Amino acid sequence: MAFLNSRIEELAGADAAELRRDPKKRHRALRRFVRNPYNIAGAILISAFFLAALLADFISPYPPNQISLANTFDPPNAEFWFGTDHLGRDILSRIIHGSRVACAVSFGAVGLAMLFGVTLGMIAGYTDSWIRDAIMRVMDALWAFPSIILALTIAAVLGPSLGNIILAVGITYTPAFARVMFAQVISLREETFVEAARAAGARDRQILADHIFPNTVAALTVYGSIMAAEAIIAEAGLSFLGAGVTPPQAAWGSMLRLGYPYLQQAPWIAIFPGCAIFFLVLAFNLLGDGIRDAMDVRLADSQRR
Amino acid sequence: MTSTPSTVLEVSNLRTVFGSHNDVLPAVDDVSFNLERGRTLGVVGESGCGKSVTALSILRLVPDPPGRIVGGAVRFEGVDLLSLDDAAMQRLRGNRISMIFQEPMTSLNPLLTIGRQIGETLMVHQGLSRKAARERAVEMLRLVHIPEAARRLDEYPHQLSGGMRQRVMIAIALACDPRVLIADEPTTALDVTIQAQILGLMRELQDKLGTAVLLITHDMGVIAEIAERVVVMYAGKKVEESDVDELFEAPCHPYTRGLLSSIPHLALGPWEGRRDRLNEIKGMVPSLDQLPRGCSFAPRCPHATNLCRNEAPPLEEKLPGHVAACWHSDRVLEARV
Repeated sequence: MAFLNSRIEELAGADAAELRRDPKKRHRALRRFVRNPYNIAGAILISAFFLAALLADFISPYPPNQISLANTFDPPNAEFWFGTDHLGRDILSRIIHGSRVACAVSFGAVGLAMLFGVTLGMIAGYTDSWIRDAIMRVMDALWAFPSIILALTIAAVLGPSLGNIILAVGITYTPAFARVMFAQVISLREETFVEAARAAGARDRQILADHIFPNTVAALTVYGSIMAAEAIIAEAGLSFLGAGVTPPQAAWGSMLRLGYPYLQQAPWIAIFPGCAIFFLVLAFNLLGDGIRDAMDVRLADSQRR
Repeated sequence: MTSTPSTVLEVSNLRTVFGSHNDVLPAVDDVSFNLERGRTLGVVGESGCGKSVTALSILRLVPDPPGRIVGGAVRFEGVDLLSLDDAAMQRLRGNRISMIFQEPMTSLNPLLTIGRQIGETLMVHQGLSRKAARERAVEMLRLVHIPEAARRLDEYPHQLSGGMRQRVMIAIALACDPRVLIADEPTTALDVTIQAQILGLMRELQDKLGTAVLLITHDMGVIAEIAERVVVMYAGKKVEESDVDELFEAPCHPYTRGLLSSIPHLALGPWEGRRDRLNEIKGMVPSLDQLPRGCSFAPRCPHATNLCRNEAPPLEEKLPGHVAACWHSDRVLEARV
């Protein structure tokens, strides 16, 4: 026994040396994220659009709804960088103001979908009864609709306004988050550390709050940024179909719709809003991929070499 | 099987089954044993013989469905745990009876600091403030010989090695000074030197704190190291129980004998001039839905007769304080080396 104890001391010392690992490790995910130029590009693009949305009134060269019949269908020039539409409104100013709608919908709808979806998915994943089946079957039913049709129906019933679009898109994407959360919870609740917490007398509430939810945040973040891109497309689709914000408020989708008849004569009316949609969606996808790669532990280990 | 005043945990005729009503499989079948204050009881057997389910049944953590405790009693300090309500059971877990698991790598939440995970138990059960819990957590880390305890508190599980994590698990389990510690294969996932450390630590803490330990393992070496009394399980049943020395000296059940003779002996290494083939027990633990009619071990037993194949042997006292369930224990005793 004395021998054993001295061995213990000795080996504990060895372990201590092994323990003294790189303290910067905690920021490893962040450093991995920063290392990839695509991630940086995505982050910069998103920041640019959000800044544009915030500062729209200050940076747009003209008021977005200012009609100038002397300047209709002007191609891009020094005065109107992105040209003007059929009413002589400055496309650039309208795109800048339209980013407000895009950003509000991307964040609002994803936030809402997350709130609903995470709550429902967590309840469904943690209960073993008819509640689980009831929630998940309703989610499956919602998910079975083509999302744009569901969103269109909800938006049409509620009436066109920014808040209603956010609500419509949010409800449409709720099943996506519910399913991701459900899958995470049913796998996490079988983890040994959850069993250990239960054996240590933790209550359900505590297990969910301390042990299950924090372990889903990585997946939710990645999924959230990808769904933000989806939400922008959905909003553009709704606006394009006329179920979006009320005119004359600028939204990229409705601008696209407006430019569509003039595609031959004045392509800039549709092209520039289209580019705006493209770049913001691209940016969210880059960000999502970047976060996923940075947070994926298995990938991290293979990259460390 | 009578309980004495020093009995802290008494399991009697415990029966836990899995499956639906018409198709139940007995994972734990009529198992009884007593755990004495401050002593170590080993439960040994192959994979799938019901050791872990026994442990989970004591804490009432058997996943339900599909598992259910259908009979028997688990008396802790005289109170039948099976009759307690959920809230009372929750107050007991981790406080009066705690448990450590096989996999130290996955038993800790990767996102919470060590200090938080030790402190959580203390805050739940002893109502300590965050600050007091933190102080006690440092004490616990020192107790389990983790160097630089104060600094470790703010570290995350991935920053610790397997042996260190098992120490943390032990610290969490012992934080509230429980009467009973259930250790389910605590050293199986660790390499041999770390195993010795952890066993040494458990023994030391047991002496210091007087905790009774229910040690579940498949490793006879671990049993020899720290258990005082041993229960051998096979296919959900207790087949033998005795003091550890006697079990190693005079096993009365052929299964126990098989387990003992399948331990490699270094003395018979090549430098001794011969290297014997390591004895194994032929065959596998029968799956619970295909248990034989008589003795569960009969298909693998060298001593099996028609009697064994047709009728299950009762648990009988073969030697003083030594019970076994075998028709032919005298032959098993004779056959020993």
